[in-house]
Amino acid sequence: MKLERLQHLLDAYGADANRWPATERASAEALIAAEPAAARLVADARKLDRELDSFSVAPAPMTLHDAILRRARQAEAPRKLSWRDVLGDFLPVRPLWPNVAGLAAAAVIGIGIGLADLGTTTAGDDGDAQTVASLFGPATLDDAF
Amino acid sequence: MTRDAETDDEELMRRTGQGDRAAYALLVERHLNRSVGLAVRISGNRADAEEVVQEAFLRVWVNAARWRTDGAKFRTWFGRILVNLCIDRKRKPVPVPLEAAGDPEDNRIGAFDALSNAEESARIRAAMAELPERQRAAVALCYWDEMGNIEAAAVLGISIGALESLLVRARRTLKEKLESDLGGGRLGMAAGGM
Repeated sequence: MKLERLQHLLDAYGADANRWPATERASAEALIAAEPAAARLVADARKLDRELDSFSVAPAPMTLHDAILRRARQAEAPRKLSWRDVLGDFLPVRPLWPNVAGLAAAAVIGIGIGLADLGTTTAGDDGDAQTVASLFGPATLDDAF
Repeated sequence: MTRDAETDDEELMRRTGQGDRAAYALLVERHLNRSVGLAVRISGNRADAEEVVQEAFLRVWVNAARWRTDGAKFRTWFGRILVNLCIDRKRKPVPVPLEAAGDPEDNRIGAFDALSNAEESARIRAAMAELPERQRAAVALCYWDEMGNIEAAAVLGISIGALESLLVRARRTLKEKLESDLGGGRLGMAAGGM
């Protein structure tokens, strides 16, 4: 290991070898034993470690422990995945059938109106036929002769 | 109880998934102090930290039946829940004034040392509050929680290289903050000198 890598390890993990990546620990320790400059880097990193070690946190109170167990008692028991959990967002939040029924009703009404319209003739029909004939010629062979 | 004490977390989690409340209580007991320490150091606020810890353990209970090891440790999975909850909380921690440092954390030390220790904790907490959340989480996991780099990277969902980058930036910033706080002498800024 080179000094640069040791400095990087110290900058990242601090001076305690137990925090260094296991794969690099032995070579880092060998470098420290052999190089006074490496030992100085470790001593320097240890100063920040000492500061950080002073950030102590009080143990969790029993009331927190009890509150956690109480919340679990109030929650439903653990359950396995349902199909709805697996499909998640792909499933609609509300039932689909009212939308489908609405669309079907609209389609039936539309078709009904359309069929009723086929049986009637209006004055406009002849006019439309004449317009088509003027643009494209006679509409049928009978008309042509 | 001896047998339970030897049972690994993954087995306790499997039993919790079957609705075994005793197994769940043992998991809580095992991981509570560590979780509070981690959450306090990331969130910078004791009340927020305790709320996050409660929520994280509730998620363990609710999701236990769906949990599959797939080679992952409970500790890693739970750490990810906890860290994400701390980060998602979005409430930027307010630097704590020294007067608000509170009671001594360790009953075994003397009054003078306790006061000094509380002040030190408040200084570190204030310096930590200046860090971006992910840097804070990286330092909390690797330094105070003493988690290995592979596991800490898995908790944060990043590569080991990215974790080291977060740690280097975090520790350099902490060093600068703490040194400027003390007027420059105590930490002897040599970092980044190479």
